[in-house]
Amino acid sequence: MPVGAPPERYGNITVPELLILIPFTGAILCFLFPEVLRRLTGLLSAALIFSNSAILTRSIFQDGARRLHLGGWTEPLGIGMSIDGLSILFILLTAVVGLLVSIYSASFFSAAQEQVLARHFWPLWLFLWGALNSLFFVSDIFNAYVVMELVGISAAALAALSGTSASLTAALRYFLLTMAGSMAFLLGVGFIYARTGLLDMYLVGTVADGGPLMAMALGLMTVALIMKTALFPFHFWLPPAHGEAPAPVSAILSGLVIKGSFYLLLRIWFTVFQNSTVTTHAAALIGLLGLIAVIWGSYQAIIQTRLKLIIAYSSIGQVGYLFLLFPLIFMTPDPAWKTEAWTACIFQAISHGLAKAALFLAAGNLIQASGTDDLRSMRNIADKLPMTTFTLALAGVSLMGLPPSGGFVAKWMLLQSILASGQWWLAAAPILGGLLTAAYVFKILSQSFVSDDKKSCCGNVSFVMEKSALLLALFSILIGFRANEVIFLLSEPVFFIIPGGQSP
Amino acid sequence: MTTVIIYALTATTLFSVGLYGFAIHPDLIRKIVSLNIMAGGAFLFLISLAYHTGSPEVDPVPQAMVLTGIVVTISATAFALCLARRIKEKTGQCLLEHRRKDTET
Amino acid sequence: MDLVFDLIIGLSLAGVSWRIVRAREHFQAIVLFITFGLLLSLAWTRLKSPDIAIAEAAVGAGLAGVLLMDTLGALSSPRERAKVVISLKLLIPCLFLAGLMAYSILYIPEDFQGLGIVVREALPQTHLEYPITAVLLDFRGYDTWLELGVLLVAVLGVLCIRRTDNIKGTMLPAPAEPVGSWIVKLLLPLMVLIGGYLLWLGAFAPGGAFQGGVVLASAGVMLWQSGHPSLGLMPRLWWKILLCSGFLSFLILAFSSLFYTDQLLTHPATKTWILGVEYAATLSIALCLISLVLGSPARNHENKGV
Repeated sequence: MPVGAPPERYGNITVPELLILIPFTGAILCFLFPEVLRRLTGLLSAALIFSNSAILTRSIFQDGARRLHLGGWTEPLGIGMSIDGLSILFILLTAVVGLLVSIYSASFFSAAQEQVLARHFWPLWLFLWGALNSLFFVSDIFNAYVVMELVGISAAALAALSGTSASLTAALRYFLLTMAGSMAFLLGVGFIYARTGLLDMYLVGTVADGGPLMAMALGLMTVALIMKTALFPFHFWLPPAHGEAPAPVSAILSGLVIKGSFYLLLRIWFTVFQNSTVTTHAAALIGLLGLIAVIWGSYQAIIQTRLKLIIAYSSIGQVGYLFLLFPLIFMTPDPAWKTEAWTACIFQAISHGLAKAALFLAAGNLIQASGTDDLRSMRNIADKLPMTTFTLALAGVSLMGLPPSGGFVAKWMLLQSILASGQWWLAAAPILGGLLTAAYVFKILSQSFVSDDKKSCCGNVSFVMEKSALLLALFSILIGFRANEVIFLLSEPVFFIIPGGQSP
Repeated sequence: MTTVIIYALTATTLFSVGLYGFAIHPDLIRKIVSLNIMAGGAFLFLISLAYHTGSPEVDPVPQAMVLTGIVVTISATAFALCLARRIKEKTGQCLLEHRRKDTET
Repeated sequence: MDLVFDLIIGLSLAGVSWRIVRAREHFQAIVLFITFGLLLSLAWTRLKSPDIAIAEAAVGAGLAGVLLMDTLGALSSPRERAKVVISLKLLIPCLFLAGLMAYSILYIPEDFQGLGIVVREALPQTHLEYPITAVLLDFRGYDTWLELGVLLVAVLGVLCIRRTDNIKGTMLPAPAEPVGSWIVKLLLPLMVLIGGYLLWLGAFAPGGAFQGGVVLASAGVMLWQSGHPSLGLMPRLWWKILLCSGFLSFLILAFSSLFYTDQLLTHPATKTWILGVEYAATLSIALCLISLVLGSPARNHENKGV
């Protein structure tokens, strides 16, 4: 099988399809191969996906957005795929987090008692990666439903990986909610089809007007996706599901999977419903929920006593920021500030993905070293595991939004566009949320510098695991220096905000 | 046209009833049954649209979507039931409400 | 007359669904759910969708019923009573939602046109005569591919939860009181025949990979229930390959399409490709469903057997 088929075809034209084919092939091979070969296959696939993502990013950066027609059938008959600046940013996030998590897992699951987990981890994780990549290419609403189910089942299976009763219950709770969300989404697809007779996002976007059917579809799909993204008040499934899973799985779930449903929400709002005028109040409502999530999630994070639960609750708060985008886009008169809000939101998604993955991997290091993730067990950790402590600090800096991290750029741009839009009430989110975030980050760090002679800390952690967590945290800082490239990827020639974008 | 309205109304009613059942039952197996009712509603809605296309022939696209949806739903149901059984084996109960006690003990 | 029929089906569907939600006993709820599936197939026959009626009768009422009953046996005593009270706090929002949806349905345009015409125009280019099969395997083949992926991932998920890599470890032990073997001897060849026939029919009439696969899956479940060991004797690697076969054949098609065309999943203009994919899909749908139905934990069956 040509897994390693050359990524370039006809000179400079890349093959985006490989980003779906490689992980799926890897998953099948992992399933068929005996256990000893699975880790190698997984790592090889991860490296191949990463390099292909990098090549594709370059191609999109240079040649602009692309549109594919699967099976050679053009929409509305067939299913399309669209690859633009927004998708490529999420693809790249997935590739970076995915590669480092894979490297981390290769070491994490090598302990004797974990090997039975590794057997199931690799095929499911590669399936999930493939599903996420196809989610970021998605351009057809029914296809989005199928892809979401693929993401949902593999994510729930991974969440149940550790097999403890707490993780199984958390996984089932997550999965039932995901399934209910999928049903609502499917009914929403029905309503859109009833109004327009179309399934392709861009075509629907060009013909759809307002009206009760479209409003109903928007409502159903939005509720479905904010359930999956764990926006307040649908956040309750997230902390146990993300907190009880093995560390690499938590990193994947928190860093990537919730970004997948958020990405789809962006596509639904700004592509499918771009011409519908029914959305202003809904946008304000979502913004309000986002604001509550920021404050409530961060507050809950402060009062937790287990490191992984702090990190998981922090996800609820950090995801809340993303939803401030909706009121900003609909209530800002000036297009320049709309772009600013867009960039802030995407920046937040990316830097949160990187920082959160780093935090969970660091927590995994800690658990492996001391056997628990209770905050009290973190004493002496700065002496014994300086690199892990440094990782926690760097990722914390990005979460808090201190310069020059990616989180800083996100929150700074967000605050600017909030002030420019006159929606002063939204400013509570970055200001109050930032303070609360600082509080829980310091709570983590202060414990790690306490030296406690009575307690002799902890075993060793493999070099690879510490380094991959650290790299993720570094990336979450360094992304702050690449703001111009991100802004460019979200601008006109590489971004399909233009209705019915044709292949260039 | 009336046929379509009747079936579409039935479909949305089924969806709402399923949603109510999903929200009200603490028991896992009842939640899963309710989800399947919701799925039935969504499928019926799509099929009532397929019938709608004025002509004698039925629109094949919603039918294909529903066939896909049925496979997806049975897979998800089987997976959820397997999880529920495993939880029952581990904890001796199959409710989601008692989660907090489990994690603490 | 049709209108009366429609009204009866619609009202009884709504009524049965409400009864399911309100049923006190889990057992009763599941029996009603099977009835619900059969009523749905009736509705789909009425709406001229025989394919879906077959699929629903086999899956919604059949396999889902087996799965639910089986799980119920493992989870609780079937006569266990649930406390079912009407909660206005939840009922009122649901009624509100139903009202909103009912209101918006009135806005479905009279001259609604779906994609039916587009499909009919493109049908001659596909070498398939039956539009639903053409949509499933050709126009929207990507969906079908991912759907096979969902089936496969569900099996992987079940294996992950069961902590095993082997179907034998997960399968329920054959029941202590097997279904009469003469019934199996009679029905099994018939079912395999029907499955194959449905598959072959799919090219030009209602039927196809999915329906064929479901019938085969039911045959497999029945074979197991009769106490016949043949499914457990399947070598592990073959079992795995057959599980993947549908997904894998699409994957191979996708890879090879990269070499000779610009667009993923484009296939050569012969029927062979599509038929190959379809047969592989049928086999893997059948085996995945069998694994999902039988692959659940066996705990309670030991008690039952005693």
